Amino acid sequence: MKKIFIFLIILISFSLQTFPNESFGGIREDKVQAAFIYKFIQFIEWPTEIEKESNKFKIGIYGKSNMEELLQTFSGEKVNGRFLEIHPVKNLNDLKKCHIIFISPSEASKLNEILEALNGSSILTISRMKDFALKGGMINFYVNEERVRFEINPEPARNAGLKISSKLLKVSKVIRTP
Amino acid sequence: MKFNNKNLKHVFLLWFAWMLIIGSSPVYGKNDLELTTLKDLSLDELLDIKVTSVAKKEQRLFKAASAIYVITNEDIRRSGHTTIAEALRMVPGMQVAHIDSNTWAVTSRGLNSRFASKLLVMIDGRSVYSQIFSGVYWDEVDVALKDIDRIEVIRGPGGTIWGANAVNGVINIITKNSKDTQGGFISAGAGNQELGFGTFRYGEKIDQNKSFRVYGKYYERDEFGERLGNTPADSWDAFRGGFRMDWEVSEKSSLTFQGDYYNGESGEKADNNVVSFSFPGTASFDREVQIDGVNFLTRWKKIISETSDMELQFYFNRQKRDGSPITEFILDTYDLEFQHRFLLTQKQEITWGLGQRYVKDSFSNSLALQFDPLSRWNYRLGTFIQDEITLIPDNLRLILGSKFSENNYTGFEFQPSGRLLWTPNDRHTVWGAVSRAVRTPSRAEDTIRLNGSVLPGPTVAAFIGTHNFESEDLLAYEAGYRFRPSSKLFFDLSLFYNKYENLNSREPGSPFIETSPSPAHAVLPFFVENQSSGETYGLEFDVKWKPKNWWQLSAGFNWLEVSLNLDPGSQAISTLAAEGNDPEFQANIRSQLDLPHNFEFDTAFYYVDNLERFKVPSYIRADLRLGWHPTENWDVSVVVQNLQDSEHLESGEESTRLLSLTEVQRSVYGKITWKF
Repeated sequence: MKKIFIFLIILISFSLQTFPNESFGGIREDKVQAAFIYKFIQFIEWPTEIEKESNKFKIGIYGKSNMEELLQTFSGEKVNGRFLEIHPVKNLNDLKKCHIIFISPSEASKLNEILEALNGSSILTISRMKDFALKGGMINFYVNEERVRFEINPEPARNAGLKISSKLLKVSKVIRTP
Repeated sequence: MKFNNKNLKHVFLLWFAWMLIIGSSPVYGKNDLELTTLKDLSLDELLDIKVTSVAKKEQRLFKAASAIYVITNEDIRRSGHTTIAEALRMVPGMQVAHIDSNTWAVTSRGLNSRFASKLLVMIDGRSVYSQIFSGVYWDEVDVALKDIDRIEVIRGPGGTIWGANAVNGVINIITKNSKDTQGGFISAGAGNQELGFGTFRYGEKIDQNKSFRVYGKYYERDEFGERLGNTPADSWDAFRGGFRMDWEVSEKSSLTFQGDYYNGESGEKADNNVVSFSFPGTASFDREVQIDGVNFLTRWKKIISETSDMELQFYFNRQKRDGSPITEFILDTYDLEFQHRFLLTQKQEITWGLGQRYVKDSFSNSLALQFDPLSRWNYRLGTFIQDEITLIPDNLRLILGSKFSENNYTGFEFQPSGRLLWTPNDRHTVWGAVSRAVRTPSRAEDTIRLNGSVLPGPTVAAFIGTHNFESEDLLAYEAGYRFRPSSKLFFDLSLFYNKYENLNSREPGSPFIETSPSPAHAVLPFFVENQSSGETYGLEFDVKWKPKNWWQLSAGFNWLEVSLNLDPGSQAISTLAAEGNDPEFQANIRSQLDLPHNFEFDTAFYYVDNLERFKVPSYIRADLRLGWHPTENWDVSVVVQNLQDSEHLESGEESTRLLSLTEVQRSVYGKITWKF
């Protein structure tokens, strides 16, 4: 009995040096969401004039969210020939400088105002709040059966001139604004 | 096994050295390795990643001022356990022993028996602790295991919040919100012990705010192994079905409705039951105990502000257990609870609540077992208040509170506790607590007449309940330390010293003559009294370690000493709790391994020390599970339980009472699950 106990302690001691950042039972959902946001860039086509504009691809985070910190991990990476930049967005006027806007769930009460401000621009809106897609957002994360899932509302995306690949639509839950 | 002080000292020294090493090792870097790995996965792989949204929950548990342990849904799935009682083996310090295939003795921190009276068990806030004999009928405790969110196990007293009978521990079985169980699955399997089982569940959203699920399950389980030449008769089967509906009425208020129905047969060999007052007068026979129950619960939760919320819950529970020809009872429970939390000042968070429970019981008597009156209403009214005082923000807190209640058995009861919690940072938690908890009398201790045996004469030895029986009470001193050197490694240590008073004892009274029922006979009465007391102490230790993304290990260890004494003047021939009923040491090691090609390989070893009193030998149990999920919709697994031997005993004769022991056998089963 004692031997087992000591053996266990020694066994554990061996692993001291390597501690990846992970918790038990699964990966944090916001991390998986961040990875999805990164992935989405490959499955969505922005209008050509926007694609040509600059060699930077900007993701803005509106409202206080740890998504900013997570996405910073990807900052400077090259995706589809452009370099990723991650910015917090403080006011509505700055929204239009981005390609993707992640709207923090803390801003739920201002959602209509935000979507209004984005009207007419080719910006992909992403969030994880209740009824986001239903209220005119484009991609909304949720969790079912311990896995990250997302809803897509294709209509506002189409209006914004964004083309969402059928592969992405196939694995999403398609929501239509009533 | 003997584990002397010197050995213990060595273990502690090692443990301390280990702590020093850990303490001086650098904290993990900020560079997020996990995220950079995730971004290279394909869309489909990302969709298949299991996530946890329990950051907040985990934090709450890490900073809890009690010995709490959580069994997750994944733990249950990968353990291969098919019953909730068996799943509790995973908790360090829980004692789980089969008596026969459908009867268990389960408790934490000692004094175990079939009617281990000091462990409160709840399913989604509905108590399944039975006031009839003070204990839990584990064959009735079940849900669709796949829909369990988690099982929270608190070792140690919880009377301040949960009220009476949360003396040695509290178990909360919490099922998932129906919005998280969308879609359907069917699983089915069979094996040598698990003769056949199947579960069905389907969940859907009614609209944006309402969701529901329905489920049904059935199992049939084989008899265990023969013991002392008795042919076993403990096969069992049951059907269970139910629903849950969750409605988010608004952003700040939600309603839950849920209910279950079950019906089953738990076989047993009833031993030495009195069937006649002419010597020898006892008989042993096989019987099928019919279990039958239905419950309905509704809960309303309202968030008033960020720092204030309240909850109102009502449930009805009908439990019927037909153990003819010895006894049959029906228990109808009506329970209403209210709870409210708010900030009194910036530094004081108050939680208070009100509750009332009414239980109507009714029995059918036999010569062996009688209740008087045959039926009556029992009640319990209570209120609690708890104040969580911040002494140093984010660092030191003091939690003071008490439950005050009134019941028809003993009148007024109070259960205060004080807890001190020190959380210097996110890596360490230190806590200490002093609490009082009571175990209120059972209907049996109050009013039973159990004719135990017939001697020549004829003379009948009978156990007789008395209205004088008081609550058993506990004063518990606890301390604990949790340490998380990285998010991959976790330690939890708790120590306790429990002092019990007024424990159940059976005291002889003056013999008297009875003429009816005939033949005329002398009665040798043993009255249920409170003339025993004692102490228990020990520790529980738990390590979780995730060396790789695909490998998780956990290990637990516990040590328990029990010392009980009869009070001066007592002439008791027996007590409900006794020394030597509990293993002095237990340990377990579990491994969950993800293999390539979507295979999973899981192993668990459990060591349980001998039970001195009954000369039940120590045993090691080995479980293996091989799982494979070829696609997201299919799951196949093979499980071997008790690989180490073909048969072994887990309980002693005395703890069973009127029931034949059987031996746990090796079990092998296969299972297939299809999701749609």
